[in-house]
Amino acid sequence: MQTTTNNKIIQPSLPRKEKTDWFPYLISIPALLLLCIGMVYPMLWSLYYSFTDKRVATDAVYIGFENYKNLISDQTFLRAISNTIYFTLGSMVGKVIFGVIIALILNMNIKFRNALRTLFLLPWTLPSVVAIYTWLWLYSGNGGGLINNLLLQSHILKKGIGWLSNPKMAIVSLMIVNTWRGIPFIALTVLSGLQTIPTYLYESASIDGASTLQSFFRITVPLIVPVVLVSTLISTIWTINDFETVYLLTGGGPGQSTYTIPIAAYKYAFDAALGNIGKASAAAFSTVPALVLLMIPIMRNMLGDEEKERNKELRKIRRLERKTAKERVMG
Amino acid sequence: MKKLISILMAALLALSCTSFAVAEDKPAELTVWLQKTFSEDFNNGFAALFTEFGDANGIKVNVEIIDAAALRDTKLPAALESKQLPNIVYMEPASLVPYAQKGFLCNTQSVLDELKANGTEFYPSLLDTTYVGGQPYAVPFSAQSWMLWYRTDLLANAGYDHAPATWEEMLAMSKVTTDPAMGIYGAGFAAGASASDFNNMSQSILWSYGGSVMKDGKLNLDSEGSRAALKMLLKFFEEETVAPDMVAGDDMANNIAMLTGTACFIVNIPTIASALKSDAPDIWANTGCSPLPAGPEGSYPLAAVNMMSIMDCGEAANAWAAKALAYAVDESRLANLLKMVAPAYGMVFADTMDIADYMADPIVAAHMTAISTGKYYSYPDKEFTAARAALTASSTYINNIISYVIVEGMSFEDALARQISICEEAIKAVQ
Repeated sequence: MQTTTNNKIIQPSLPRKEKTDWFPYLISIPALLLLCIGMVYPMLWSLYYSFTDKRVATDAVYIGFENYKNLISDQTFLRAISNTIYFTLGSMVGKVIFGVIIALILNMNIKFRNALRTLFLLPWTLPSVVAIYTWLWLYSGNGGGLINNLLLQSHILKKGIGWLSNPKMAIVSLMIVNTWRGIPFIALTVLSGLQTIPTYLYESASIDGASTLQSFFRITVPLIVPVVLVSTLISTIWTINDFETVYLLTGGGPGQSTYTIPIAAYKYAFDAALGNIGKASAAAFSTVPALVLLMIPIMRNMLGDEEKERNKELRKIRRLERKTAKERVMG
Repeated sequence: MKKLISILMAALLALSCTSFAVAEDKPAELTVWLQKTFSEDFNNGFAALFTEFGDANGIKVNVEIIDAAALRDTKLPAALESKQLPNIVYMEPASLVPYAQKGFLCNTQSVLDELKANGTEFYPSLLDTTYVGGQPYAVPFSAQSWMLWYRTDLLANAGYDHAPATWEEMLAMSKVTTDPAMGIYGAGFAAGASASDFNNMSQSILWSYGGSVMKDGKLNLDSEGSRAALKMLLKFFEEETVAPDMVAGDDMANNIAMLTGTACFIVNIPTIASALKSDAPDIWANTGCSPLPAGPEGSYPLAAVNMMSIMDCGEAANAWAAKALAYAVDESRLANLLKMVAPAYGMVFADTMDIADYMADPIVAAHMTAISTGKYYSYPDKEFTAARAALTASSTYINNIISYVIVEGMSFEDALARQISICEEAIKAVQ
């Protein structure tokens, strides 16, 4: 907007172009290098191997999509896919429901809140192998399983449950362990989301006569949905890739009732002297389309916030410009 | 003329110096990878033999004692991929053939010759297991066979005063000793996907019914004898003489069943004897040991050999690795170590039965009889081919047939057909 003063045309001054701050990028280089060497490079090699007949200590020969075609026609692998879907869905339902409930409890002003927080976080802090072997002992039916012993001694059951030997029960037992280990992550992220909700919203709602339930559904739920969504998606990715729970508890058995994609990839790679690295890589990469689909909403959510912030800043700058220009005209 | 002779002599002299240099080209270090056994004393003792050799010859010997699964599944494949090979390594039967065929292993004839010159000879049947394509690629150092371990008190309560002579008799004894209310089951068979003890026992039962995994280089699971043996095995599960959990149990599960007194019979190598003696002396006092029951074709124990191979790391390194291996496996040293861990692991030397103090222990005597008369995985074929080696992965275990029928409810025919298909794919992949 041009103004005139003493017949001179005064151009409102444009905001200075932001100088790029290279320092954050520079200090990220070591981490990025490590990421590239430790993750990106092996991943790209693995992707390449998935299109070859690569075995241990032999040269890789390109065979196109043969490995992927073999997987699609492999009944065992198809079983692994259905087991993985079932295992993931079952675990995630438990994790989200219990994670949110625990977060709500920990957000309340209750006695021993800090001690409870520590207790609820324990499954997440225990080393995986220690936690899983503890569950193996709990589930054991060989006269040593604590769960069966308690159920039998308290006469709740007359016969022990085959937690890991019954094919229908085995996958549920794995879901229980995965859920138990994954609840703290959901609870922690939802708790941090709950703690960012301004308390004046509840106060205002209370003054306006809203009940506790109304406040929960009208204030709490809408504000924690984005957090729950992001943490659910991240946890789903981890659950799809969960190898140690299945491997240590059942190894994919009994039969193939708990045979999942990560177990299949492991067996293809290591179950023979000259393991089939090509097929194992193809099995591992078969989960990528699903993982990418899960990552998109997460990335949009994260980038969405950034864009909102940027737009907010731009609006501020434009308001300042208009104010400055107005002052000059007035002045 | 004189000039020519001088040149020739100089050339000869130069050549002789070179060969002398090669022979004396000692490596600065040798790396040895041993498989971890249950006995720390044996692990350390065996490692010490290699380091002793190193100390005596001015070579630094690095010995690593590695868990079996880690060695087989990750460490050795990673070493092969990265070409950072150990000089001497424990070799699994399943790996011997493919590695030898790919040229990763050295011929061990020189080791066997040196050992023979020093008075160490092996059982021919055990030595045969180290051959690939008519040449030796490993050296045996110990062996084991699967025996039947049984509770004498439980059998006595049921009116029996002897071990079962046949599989049918063992099934009958298992039925009468099974008491689910007390948590006791007759047959402590852990038949999970990774349970190698059950798979190894299955080899014996197949042979005892005239069947086998392979015969004349072809898959033989569909033969009359194999079918009869598999149906016999299934009966133990179908008639509920095996604890429900055990169908998914691993190699530890059958040991635990015996140690906790919840099984009347288990089939295991004699390491169970050491565990019972130390952890469950009351149960050990009521435990007997016998050869595996017989089928219509007799009793055929499986004799599995533990062996060491030399990986190709260059001429000089290979030569010294051969000397180190010959030193460590020499009967005069290794026999004392194996006596220390008796009866867990058996000796492999042709004159073992003449070692009076060793054979005085009845369990050792029974174990050595099984080892010396036992058959190898390839039986009735002589050579352990690549195809047979491909059938030692857990996906091809007999256990899977039991799982398909008992756990997944398939019919025997469907289960057998499925497992045959998996085995055929495994064989196809190596041919």
